[in-house]
Amino acid sequence: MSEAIVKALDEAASRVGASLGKDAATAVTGLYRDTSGKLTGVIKRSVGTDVEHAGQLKQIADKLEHNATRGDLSAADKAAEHTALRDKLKGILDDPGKGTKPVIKREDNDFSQDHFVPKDPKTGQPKIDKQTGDVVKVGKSHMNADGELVPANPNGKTTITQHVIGGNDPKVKGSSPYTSFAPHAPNGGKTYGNHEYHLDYNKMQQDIDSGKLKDVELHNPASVQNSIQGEINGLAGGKHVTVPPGSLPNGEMTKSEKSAFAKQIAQEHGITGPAKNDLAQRINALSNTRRDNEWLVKGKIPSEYLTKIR
Amino acid sequence: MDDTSDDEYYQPGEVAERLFFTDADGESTDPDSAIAAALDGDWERLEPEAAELLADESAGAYDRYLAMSALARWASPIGYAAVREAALDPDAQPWREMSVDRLYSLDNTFAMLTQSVVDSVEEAGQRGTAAERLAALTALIGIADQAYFDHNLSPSGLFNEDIEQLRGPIEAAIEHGLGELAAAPAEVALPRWVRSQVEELINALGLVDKAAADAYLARLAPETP
Repeated sequence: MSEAIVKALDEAASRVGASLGKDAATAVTGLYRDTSGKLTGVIKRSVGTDVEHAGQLKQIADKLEHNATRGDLSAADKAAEHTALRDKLKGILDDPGKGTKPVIKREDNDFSQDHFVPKDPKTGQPKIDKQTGDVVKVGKSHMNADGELVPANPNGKTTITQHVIGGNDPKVKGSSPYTSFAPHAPNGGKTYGNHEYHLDYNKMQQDIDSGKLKDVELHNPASVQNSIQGEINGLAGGKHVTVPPGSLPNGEMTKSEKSAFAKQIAQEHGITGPAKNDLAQRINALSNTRRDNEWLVKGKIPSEYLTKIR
Repeated sequence: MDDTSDDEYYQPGEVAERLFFTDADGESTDPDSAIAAALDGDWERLEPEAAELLADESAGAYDRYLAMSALARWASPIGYAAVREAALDPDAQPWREMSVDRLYSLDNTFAMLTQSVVDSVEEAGQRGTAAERLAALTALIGIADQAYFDHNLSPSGLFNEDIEQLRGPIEAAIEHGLGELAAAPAEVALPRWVRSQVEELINALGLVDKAAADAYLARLAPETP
């Protein structure tokens, strides 16, 4: 689970080094390494103590990388920014967490249906498909009779990026083997939907690692974002594209910023035709999932990892 | 029931299959790719057939929804008019609830329509349908208290230029939402989401007038747990 975060931080640190020169690079990456020590283990412990750490660590990696590529800052300004980010990184890695069991949450108005059945608002009856004469069904994650949380299609081929983009294709959504989760803030946070389940991601990851839990994958925000980032890089001919944080208070890009950035990248890499739209979709998806700090689980989730909250 | 077969869900009719699930080479594609591919000029050939599908009451509801989405994305006045009409009575639309979002399983048909309208800004400029586009967007903003918009009526969903031009409708929707929340917060159509969507419209307004947005935010009651 921590590998995706380590990868993001490693890549960001290497770009910091490339940006600030060899001596500065040694100082930057050295301090970063001093802070992290045996990085994978430290990050695993950090994410295991507080669910918000996973998203925060990825945000720091993104900001480190963005600062390294900025042309409007002097080397001194960049170094100062990186120092501030490293201090923040150290703060997160040293943070013992909130003392409550960290969990991710899934909210829904009705978990019991294995699909969503749209109703005619006038008659209250299920809508009928005019092509087939059958009741209209929309695939969604749901609880089955065994208390497992099951995605729209556990054997479906929908990818992480397709799942996050969503889009207009019900076949893609109906074929998703993924269920989306959000970090649960123990002290407050917005609640949506009539029902809520919490997932003990530490226990799940331990059981995946030990081989006790099979055919299930857990993707933290860094893992989700790395998947989308990989597709953006692919559209740019395999070159890494640094997608900057936006100007909104939560670091999200405005619509105008996303559009301008997509055009810039398309021009720089000669991306034309439908691929230009693919690029814009993926930049939008990356920005959205950064905002939501979204986690994904692939496959059926056994009941022992779930707790019903309401 | 767990190992759901894909063909248990939506199956497009013949026209929708050809327009939105088949590319120019006859290969399988998806609606978003097909609609985007047509932006390079093929929309002129496809528009009449999409308009026919939209008007065909015997066609499948989601097929007609895709036709409306495509026409709106291609900056067609027919598509924009259909969006405006749909916003007059959101619950009565036959395609309502035929698509849900990934996080909350909420109907996101109006959210995706909004994306289509917003993203058509350049095409509307080229086709001379900018006024129709803004009218469609105005209609959507007007139902922020009735439909789920999945963050599309927010600073990350609306262009700054649109916010400037639609300031009046945005402020009207904010005022309407604030009034509803103050009168009976538990009785709004989408508890929690209406408050969030009003807040996001205020934040959008803040991109062009921070003082006005701050004044509205001060009137937005704190969220109850």
